[in-house]
Amino acid sequence: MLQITNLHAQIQDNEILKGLNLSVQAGEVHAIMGPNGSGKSTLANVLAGQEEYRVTAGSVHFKGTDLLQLSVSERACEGVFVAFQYPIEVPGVSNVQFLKTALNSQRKYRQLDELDAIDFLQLLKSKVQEVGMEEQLLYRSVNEGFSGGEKKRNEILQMLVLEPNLAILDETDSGLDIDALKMVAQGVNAFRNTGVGKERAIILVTHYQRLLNYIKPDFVHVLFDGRIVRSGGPELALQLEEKGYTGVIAEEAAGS
Amino acid sequence: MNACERFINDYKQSRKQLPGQALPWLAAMRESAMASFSAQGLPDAKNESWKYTSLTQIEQTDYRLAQRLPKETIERLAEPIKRRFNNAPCLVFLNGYYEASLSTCGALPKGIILSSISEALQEHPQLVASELGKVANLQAHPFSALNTALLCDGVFLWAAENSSMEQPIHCLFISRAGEQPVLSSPRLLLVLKENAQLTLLEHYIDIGRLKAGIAKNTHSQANYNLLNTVTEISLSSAANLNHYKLQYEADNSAHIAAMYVQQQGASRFTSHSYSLGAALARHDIQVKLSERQSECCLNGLYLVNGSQHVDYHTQITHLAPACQSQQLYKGVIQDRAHAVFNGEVIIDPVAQQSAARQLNKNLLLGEQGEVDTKPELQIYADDVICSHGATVGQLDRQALFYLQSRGFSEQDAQAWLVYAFISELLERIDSRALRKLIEQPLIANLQQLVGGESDLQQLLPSENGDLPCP
Repeated sequence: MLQITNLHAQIQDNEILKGLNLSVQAGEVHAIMGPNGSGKSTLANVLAGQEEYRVTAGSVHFKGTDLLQLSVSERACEGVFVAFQYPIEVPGVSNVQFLKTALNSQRKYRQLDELDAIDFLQLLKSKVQEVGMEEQLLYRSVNEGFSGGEKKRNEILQMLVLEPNLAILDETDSGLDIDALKMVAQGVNAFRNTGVGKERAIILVTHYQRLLNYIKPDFVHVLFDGRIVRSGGPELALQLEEKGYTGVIAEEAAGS
Repeated sequence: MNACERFINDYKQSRKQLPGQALPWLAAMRESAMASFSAQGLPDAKNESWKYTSLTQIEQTDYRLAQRLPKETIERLAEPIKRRFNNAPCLVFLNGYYEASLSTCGALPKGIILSSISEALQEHPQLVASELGKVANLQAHPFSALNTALLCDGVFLWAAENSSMEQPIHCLFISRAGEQPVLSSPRLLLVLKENAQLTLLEHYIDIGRLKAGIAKNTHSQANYNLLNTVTEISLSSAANLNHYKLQYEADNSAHIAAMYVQQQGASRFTSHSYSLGAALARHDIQVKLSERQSECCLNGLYLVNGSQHVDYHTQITHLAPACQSQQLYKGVIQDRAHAVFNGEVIIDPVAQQSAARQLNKNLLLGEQGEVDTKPELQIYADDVICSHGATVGQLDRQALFYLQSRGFSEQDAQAWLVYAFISELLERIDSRALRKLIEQPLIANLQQLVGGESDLQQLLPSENGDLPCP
């Protein structure tokens, strides 16, 4: 589904990604872990199409299409979703209208009928329950005045409503208390499990192993200095927890 | 002959035909107003309050005084007016002339007199005499002097003590282009006695927009008309007026407006002013808080593009203790359009415990637009709370990105963010019927301004008046 080859990217002339390779197939959950400054968020932002990040070499193919040639909006409509680390506040646009316009823009792109207000609200309310969000937040401006946890839940809600093929969760676990973390994980698992036959994949970008107790990945990758230096199964996350990034990275350097 | 001399000349030739010539007080008022106008002349850039607003276009246009339109034209309007605005009471004016056949007064509550000024001069001359020209300041505004001299018709509203009316009063001023550009000079005289409560809409529209619905460019005959209007408002103690203004005339026309408000104790005045269409639109709003605990709240929104020019000049004078004033003006400026905001607040030495807030926010959607914004505070009392602020900014790039990352097209994202910027003002419209009436052209205008495919009209209240979700 996603094929990243030798990706180099920079922000303000600082090269952050230095030849990243990653391949994600439909149905898989990948966790990308790494220390601060290793390029985790840069990867998420490059995939979303943030204009401050400039790709200088390499390629990204999504469902066979050159993702880097698509606009931000086209990427979303093709089925790429990034849950941001710091969701943006949009004062004056109500959450419910935002979600409805987003969904209908995507449906229009895919030549599906747009949902009317009644069908949409019905869909939305069922999803709101899954993430345990207070319904009144739907009628407030997007993320405005939301707590950190509410913003993250709102990102997961958007994911459940928009049903992307590929969801990239950028440190969605950071800043969450344990109950909120469980709730978010439950939302992600619901998304994963209802995806049977629907071509879904998830990339979890995270610092901590904690989230992986609740969402079991198929693959774990260690990102360091703009490259994936080690890949493995869920056991790799446990090793990281035990030895720390430095330990695992040093091991890798010694072994190679 | 310059423009000023042409206006004086027009006045001399037509004064015998102007309404109320049999009333010596009115004839005298016209004469003295004309004298004031000719003494002042048209303001130029050396005049501080006209520094950013050039009147060259007006000076170079050869206006005639507007004449009543032919009967067939008037009759043809009955159907579109009824279709668009099926509300009462509705007073309709065509190029400044009251058209009774197009108007619906309906049954008015006890104590309220609502009529055209020409009718009022015949039926209630004393009432008109006791109020007309009492609040307007002719010395400081030559156009108000010109309006007084050439006063041809307008709205007379008198609300007795404790009278009230829920239904908004709709005053519809339709402008129509002819072979020759014309000047029309409507006047509104609104008097609310103790504890009277009313809502009124001053609505200025080009005939093309009336017929073509809400489309912005009607491509009809160019309309270079000048509309010079004056609104005088007198509020007695505890009176409450909700005043709305929607200015949406032709893109070539000029609109000069002055509103004067005099407030007595514990009265409340709220203004919602929307300026959308005209080559040149100038709005002067002057409020005098003359007695204790009176309050005024001024809200305004301007959306301009192309080479449009809009200018809001507000002046609020706190003349008594414990009064409050609030101002919120927002503007969206595209292309080479130019917006001016000048907000003056004067706190008299006796006006202790005054609270005055003022905020002007502008959104520039391009490289070539211009905004001149200036707060002017003159505070002569020491126990006051005053604040002011002005911003000129662009759309938030992060928010644009965020919306697009969820599937909004670039244009839709822009349209939604502009709507988000202005929605704060729309939410202050507390009448559903008026909100719909104002939002419709506004959103159509906005959609033309920024484009976008998603239908912002979905934000409009539905037919039964309910707002969309929530």
